[in-house]
Amino acid sequence: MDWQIAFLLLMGTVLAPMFLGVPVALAFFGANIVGAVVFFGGEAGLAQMARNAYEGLINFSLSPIPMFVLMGEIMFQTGVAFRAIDAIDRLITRVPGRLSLVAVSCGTVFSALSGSSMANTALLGGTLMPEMTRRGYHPGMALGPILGSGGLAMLIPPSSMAVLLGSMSGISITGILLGGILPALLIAAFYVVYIVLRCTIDPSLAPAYPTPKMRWSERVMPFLVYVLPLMSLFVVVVGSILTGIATPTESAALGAIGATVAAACYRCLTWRSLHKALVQTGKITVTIFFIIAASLTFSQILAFSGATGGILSLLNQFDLTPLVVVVGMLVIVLALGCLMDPLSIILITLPFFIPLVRQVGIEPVWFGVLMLVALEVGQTTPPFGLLLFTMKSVAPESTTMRQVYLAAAPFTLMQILAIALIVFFPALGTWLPSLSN
Amino acid sequence: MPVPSPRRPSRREAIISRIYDRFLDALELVPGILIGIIALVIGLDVLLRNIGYIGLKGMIELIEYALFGLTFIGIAPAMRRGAHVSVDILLMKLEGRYRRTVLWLVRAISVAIAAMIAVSAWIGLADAVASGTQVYKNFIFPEWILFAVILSGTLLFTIECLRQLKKTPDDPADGKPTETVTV
Repeated sequence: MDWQIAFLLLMGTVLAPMFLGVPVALAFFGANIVGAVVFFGGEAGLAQMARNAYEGLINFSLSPIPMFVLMGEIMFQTGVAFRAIDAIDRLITRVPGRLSLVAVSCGTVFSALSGSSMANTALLGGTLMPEMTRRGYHPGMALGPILGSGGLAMLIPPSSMAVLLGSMSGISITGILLGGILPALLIAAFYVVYIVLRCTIDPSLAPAYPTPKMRWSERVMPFLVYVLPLMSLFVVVVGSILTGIATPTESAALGAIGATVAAACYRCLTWRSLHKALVQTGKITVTIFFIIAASLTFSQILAFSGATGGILSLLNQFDLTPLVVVVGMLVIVLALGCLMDPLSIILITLPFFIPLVRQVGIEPVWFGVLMLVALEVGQTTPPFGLLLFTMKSVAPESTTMRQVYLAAAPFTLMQILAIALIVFFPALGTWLPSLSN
Repeated sequence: MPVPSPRRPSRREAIISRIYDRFLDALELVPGILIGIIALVIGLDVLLRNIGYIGLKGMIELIEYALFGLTFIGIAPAMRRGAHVSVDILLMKLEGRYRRTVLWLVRAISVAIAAMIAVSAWIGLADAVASGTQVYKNFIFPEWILFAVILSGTLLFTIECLRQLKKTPDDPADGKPTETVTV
């Protein structure tokens, strides 16, 4: 069979059921079944598919994923995260677009405590949106900062998506985890500048209002009590990786234990909250791992059918420079981001991208960081960015989808600007990882 | 495509369904508990190594098997909660009869694929038993055990997909976009 037909057959059998609404894992398994029958010779191929399902999961490098998810779930289910929002809210005063800045600060802080951008967005939206609406904030200045900063969880450790990308691509997990930090801070800085500038030029976007009078200690103490100790968890996770004391897996486990101890110290840890956090973590982990179980066979079939090799040799004919190849891959990820969730994009594109990265000689960590930021952008691009729907579900009922799209647009553009900067200044993504070497 | 009309379950069916649901409730806890144990074990290992003892022997391998096991233990309960990641572009756009038809089709395809995964696990299991294949790492055991875990998990998963297919498509609460999980 020609590689073009093999490519269309395999992609068609994944994408058609996926867009129909079949769970992503099953769509991949469906393509694997077709591929096993057509390319691997029927029964033997099916047995190999089952063997690959366990071989793909019996992999220690996947273990940080549930640990990072657990860390965030403990923070959210115990309510510690809500106290942190209140503490940051007290700290920021007398600035244009105050609540928008609170959203960005809280989003960045929570990104350092949780690996889930959806949980981050839902938490910020549910907590800050009612107050922003009450204070007469323009939808663009209320929804946008939450959408933008909610997605930072994908870049800042503990990022489960970074671990997933690393373990599935063979790129250093430590490298991607550390490499996401500077771009995330850069994006957060863009948001702050944008909010302050726009609200200074047009104060009606975020009407100023008198904040309750408090003593200095009343403003600072909650931050010292509820935010600073939590940030030590981030220091534990990142510091232990940077200094080489612990591997990403070990640091993730230490982060999860630390989050539980912190919740207990704040007297927020109850059996009920622990039970909810564990069940939710289990559910999220299972759904991710079930997709991973299908991924090994999928990439094997793509390679065996000649589809991967065919695409690579086709691209070779054009004698493309590494820069063009990287930009091309990012455009594909951004386009898919409008339609799919990040996990599906990783699974569909990596079997082609990774051989290409190796062939053209692109720095893998740099590429991993770029891909991660592009995946983050995909969560806020219309029509089907996941965070857009998360935001809509927690925003006031009168909020329209159009308002959500429009609010996300400037923040999405700033993320794309960050991608451009990382492309032209690779050190933004590779400097921190180089320190760990 | 005609969507089969639902039938009211008999008392016996309702009892079996309730028992099965309690069973899935119990299974739903297992992945979370295993993840909690993994966190504690890794933490203990780091502690032991840093105070001069050797790490826990075979820990990495046990954790790897736990990651594999918890996935197949958890897929059926996750399906019941509609937690599996799916792209709902089409379903969100459709309404009424078209939506119900597509939903029924999606669930029928899911049943077929889930059943085929179970079949492939069965073929692997039968092969492994016939050839007496062993898994050789720190722990040595017959390979069929791994296939048995996949088979059990995917059989329950297939049953859950079948139950969803049988659910009344007229229920207004049914067929809403599934809870999408991301990381």
